[in-house]
Amino acid sequence: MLKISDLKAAVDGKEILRGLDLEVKAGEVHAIMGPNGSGKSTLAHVLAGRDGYEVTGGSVRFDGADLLALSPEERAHAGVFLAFQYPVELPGVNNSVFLRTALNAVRKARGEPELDAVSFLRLMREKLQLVDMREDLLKRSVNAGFSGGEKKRNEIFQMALLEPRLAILDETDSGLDIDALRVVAGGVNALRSPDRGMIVVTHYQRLLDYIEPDFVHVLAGGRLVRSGDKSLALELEEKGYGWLTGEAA
Amino acid sequence: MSAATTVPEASTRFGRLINERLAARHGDGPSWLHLRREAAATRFAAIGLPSSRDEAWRYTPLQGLLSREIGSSVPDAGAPDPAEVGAVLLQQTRVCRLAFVDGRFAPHLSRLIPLGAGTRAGSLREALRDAPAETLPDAGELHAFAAMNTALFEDGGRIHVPAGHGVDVVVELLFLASGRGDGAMHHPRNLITLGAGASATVIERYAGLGSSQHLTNAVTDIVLGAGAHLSHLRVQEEDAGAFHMGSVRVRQERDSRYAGFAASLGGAWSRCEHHADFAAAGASFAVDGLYLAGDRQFVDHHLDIRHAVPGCASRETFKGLLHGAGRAVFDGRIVVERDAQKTDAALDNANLLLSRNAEVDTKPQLEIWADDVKCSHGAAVGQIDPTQLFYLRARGVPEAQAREMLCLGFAQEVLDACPVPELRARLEQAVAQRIRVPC
Repeated sequence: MLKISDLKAAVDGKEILRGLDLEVKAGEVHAIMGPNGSGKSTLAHVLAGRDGYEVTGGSVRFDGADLLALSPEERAHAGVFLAFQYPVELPGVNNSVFLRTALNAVRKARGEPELDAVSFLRLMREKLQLVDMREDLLKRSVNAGFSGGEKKRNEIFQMALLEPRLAILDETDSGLDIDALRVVAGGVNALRSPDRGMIVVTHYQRLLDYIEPDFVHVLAGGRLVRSGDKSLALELEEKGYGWLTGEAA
Repeated sequence: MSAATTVPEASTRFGRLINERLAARHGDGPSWLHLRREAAATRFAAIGLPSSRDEAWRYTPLQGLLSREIGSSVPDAGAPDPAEVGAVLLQQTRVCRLAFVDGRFAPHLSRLIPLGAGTRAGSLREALRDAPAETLPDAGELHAFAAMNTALFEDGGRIHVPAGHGVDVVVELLFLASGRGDGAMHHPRNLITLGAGASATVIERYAGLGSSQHLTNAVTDIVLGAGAHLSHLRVQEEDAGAFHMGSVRVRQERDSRYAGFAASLGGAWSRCEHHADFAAAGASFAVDGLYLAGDRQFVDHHLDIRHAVPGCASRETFKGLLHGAGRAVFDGRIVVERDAQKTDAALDNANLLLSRNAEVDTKPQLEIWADDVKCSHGAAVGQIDPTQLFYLRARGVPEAQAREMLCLGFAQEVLDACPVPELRARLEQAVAQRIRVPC
């Protein structure tokens, strides 16, 4: 599904990713862990197509196509979804109008008919339960004045609506208390499917107690320096990153 | 007559026009009114049109207005037929509508419905016929345009709600420019008075039916009795060639509330002023404003809020959306005098520039002479936030549509303050249409 080969990327002329290789197959959940500044969020943003992240080498194939040649919206249409570490507030933009516009844009690109207001409402109500989100949040401006937990729920709720092929979760656990973490992780787990790949970016092992990965990779110095199964995450929890970042130098 | 191009030349030309027209109207209306008009003409001659040397007009270019032959023609009074006007009218809202075409009352486009005992909504010209001089507030004309209005006003809305009475129907003062012929000028004059504890919602709307270079020069006087509550929605959507000058002067008694909404979307040149004056404590004044300007458009909002007595509140939030080569001015001034302790004043202006050629001058000012007050002011000029744009695009919304959503979102925060749903929906639509123009 996703094949990243020798990916190099720079921000403000500074190289952050220095030859990263990763393959994600449908149905797999990959955790990417690493110390601060190792390039985890850069990877997430490069995959989603954010301006200001300059790819200086390597390639990313998504279902055989060149992902890096696509605009952010085309990537979304192709089925790439980034759950933001810091979900953006959009004052004055109604949350349900936003969700319906996004869903219909994606459906249109897939050649599916747009949803009318009634079917959309029904769908929203069904998906709301997944993340235990209050319906009144749909009537407000997108993320404006939402608590940290509500913002993260809104991200996973969007993911549930858009049903991406590849979901990238960027530090979804940051800023969540344990109850919110449980709910958000529950939503993510409900969306695991044999057709869907996931990349879970996290600093702490804690999230992986709730979202159990098939593979764990350690990102340090812009490269994956160690890959293993979930036991690697436990090892990191115990020993910290120092013993691995030494290898990266 | 050739058009004048300098302020003194134009002042002389307009001064002559005022005198000619005033002489022709002798005997029209009560004698006190004629004296008032003559005094205003004298005042006009004394102060002349404002120039960029006047602080309140520093960023407001009058050249475009002065170089036209404004005032050189009188439009033929042939009224447009209702079919032509249909698209402009509110359809779903129960309104009591007073319509004026080229400054004259148009009964066949109006919709007069009974508003309850003692409440009046009708033509000011009619109302003044047998009224005493004190009916029409004598505000002391601040500038030449207001003086010109007093000297020459034809008609406008007269709304009075007696003490303790609430009007649940929306009253609309609708001013239409027929667009027949360039060079006309109209001077609508409105007077809205609410007795103690009275309440009402009044729309004051200016729209065009064609495209002409005319000047609308309106003055609205508002007097709110103790505890009265007025919701006043001023909407300017004139045609592309229009020049629009509007002054709103509010005088408030104890515990009264003025909730204003102002939208300026049309015209080639427009300026709207709100002047607020508190007579006693406990009163509050608020305006939510939105302005748009694109190619060949200049829009100016001017606020003059004077706290002379203690314990009053004022809050103004204005947002501007500028595209193409649009130009805007926001000039808000709040004065808190020495005795005005416990004043609560907030003034905020934010502008979104959608093109490199758009331009805004924003000047929020606080002048505070009392020491126990809560005052704030802020101004912002920015572009579309790339982080917000990326968020929408990452969810699959195409870039052009994402920009449009963010612009509308910016405007929406002001539009949400419009309490008449149909009017709000129309404005949302108008803003969306304007934003869709490539910028």
